[in-house]
Amino acid sequence: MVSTNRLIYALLSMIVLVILGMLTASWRVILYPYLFVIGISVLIGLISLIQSNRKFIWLPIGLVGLYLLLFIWLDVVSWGSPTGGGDSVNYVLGLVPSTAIFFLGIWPVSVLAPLLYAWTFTKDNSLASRVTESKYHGV
Amino acid sequence: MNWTIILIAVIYMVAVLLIGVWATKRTKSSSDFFVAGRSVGMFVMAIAAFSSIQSGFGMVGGTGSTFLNGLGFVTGVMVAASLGFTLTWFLVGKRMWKMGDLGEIYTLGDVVERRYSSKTVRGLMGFAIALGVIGYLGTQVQAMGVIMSTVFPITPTVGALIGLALIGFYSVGGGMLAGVYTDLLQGVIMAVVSVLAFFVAIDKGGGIMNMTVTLQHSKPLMATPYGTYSMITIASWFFLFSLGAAGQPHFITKFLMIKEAKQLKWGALTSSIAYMMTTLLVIGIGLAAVVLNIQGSFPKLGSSDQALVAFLLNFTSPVVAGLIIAGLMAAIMSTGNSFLNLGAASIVRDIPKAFNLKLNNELLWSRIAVVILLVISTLFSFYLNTLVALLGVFGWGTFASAIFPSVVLGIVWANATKQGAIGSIVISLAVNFILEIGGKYGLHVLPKGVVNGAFALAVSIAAFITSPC
Repeated sequence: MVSTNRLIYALLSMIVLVILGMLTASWRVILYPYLFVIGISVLIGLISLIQSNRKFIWLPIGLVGLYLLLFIWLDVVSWGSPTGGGDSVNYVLGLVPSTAIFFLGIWPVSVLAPLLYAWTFTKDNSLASRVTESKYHGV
Repeated sequence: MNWTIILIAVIYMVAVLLIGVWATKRTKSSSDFFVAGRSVGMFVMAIAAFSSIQSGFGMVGGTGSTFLNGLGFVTGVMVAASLGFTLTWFLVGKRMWKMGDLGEIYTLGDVVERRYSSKTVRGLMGFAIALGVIGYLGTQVQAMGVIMSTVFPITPTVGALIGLALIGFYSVGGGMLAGVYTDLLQGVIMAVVSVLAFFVAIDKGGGIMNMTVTLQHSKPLMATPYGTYSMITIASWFFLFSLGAAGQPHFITKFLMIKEAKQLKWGALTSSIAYMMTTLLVIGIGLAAVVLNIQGSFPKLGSSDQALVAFLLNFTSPVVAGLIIAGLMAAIMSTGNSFLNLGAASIVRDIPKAFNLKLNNELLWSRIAVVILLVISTLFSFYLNTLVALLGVFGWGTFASAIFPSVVLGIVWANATKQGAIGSIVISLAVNFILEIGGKYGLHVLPKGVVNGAFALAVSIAAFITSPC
């Protein structure tokens, strides 16, 4: 069963990796664990819904999977190029491939994510996390 | 000086004044002043949330950064912030609204005292927010002076004073009620003119394909999503500006103002899209200015922050320039108003209550506090630049690292402790101060490119979760 405690400790483990990435100047060790932090944040938001219907766990998993796919693709396109893919002779709608992946792929996920929020909103009518509700001061 | 631009700016300022008069008549209590009487609907709240996040820093500074260093700022900061709206809605949207439903919960100090039964946490929260507010307001004062002096034949100092008098008028009288409705006007102006500016800029740059090829021939990195920024900086920004959005007090207190929970449903989408629209202005004008500069047709600038205004005055019609400048004034004023209200709440409510003091006639004292904050931030801005710079350290990163763990994780995690909240706030303030001030004096603790605020956020989260009961 998914619990807030587990999610918070999963968040901690990813944050520790992010700190290590910063201390060792390894941007991939910052970025890729952070994509899982995004998924954990969505999981925390949906926890009461997921506890009542486990199939909704695929929403945060799908979101993280999509981000991973797009960022790995961007990494591959830019990787090994001192210009970050800026010298490409291929264009997508007038943009070099790395810029196209970012602004036509990764950026629009910022619209997909709130659509997921709106879609799950009416399904999760608890108004606040029932998990924590009874544990602190009546909230 | 152009009369069309002046006319548009004056119309905008009169509209803001009228909203201020209307809101002042309706502001009767502390609830009205701090949380708009908890009467706000989805669209107003979502646009107010977005416009308080999108400041002069993002639009003027972001365009300047794009002009100087390419798209790295947009990639790391602005794309991340648009995702940050949704993460915040998922993490605390319903929970903050529910908190506001419990009674007199107007400030983050109220939230943490209720959550941890601790006046120490309330006092620390109020202290951190008050310091940050003075720093942020100082930067808004300076930005307002620059923009006003481009519109009117006045000095930046006089421009800042006029702009501040306007913000002060509607903030003192109408509090947050005036704030959210002026934010609505300002946010709509920002979003609409940004899309207009994007297409004008792409046209002036010769089209997207032509701009890409021009950038490639000059410096290939400028055609990429990274620009000349290092990947470590972009990754740090991406973390700080998306997760850290949930720790911005001028944003998350907006959830306390919503009248019904069902109003939350479309808020994240509305805020995200509006923010993305304003990002288009930064991308379009920033890159068009680079291309025109490469072609030798862009004026010489004293600072990259002048790129936006230089583009407007030299490459757009007065009507377009006037609308966009009104949008810039809107960005500065909406952020300034939010911070004035937060600062007043800290001074009048959170810090006194931490010492078991309660002020009679809180509404009157709040209005006085707004005036005091305006005077202090103006004096700091004009006469104590160094102090403003130091307090400016308490920017996005400090708010994120002080507030995200204690408020956001505190609300979602039943096992969160008072000790964790106190520890994370103290650690966040200390880490940010030490790293930022140390950096100014040549003490670089972190590897080059790592953003201090991002490191402070990660460390304070870890400290909060691992603190003993």
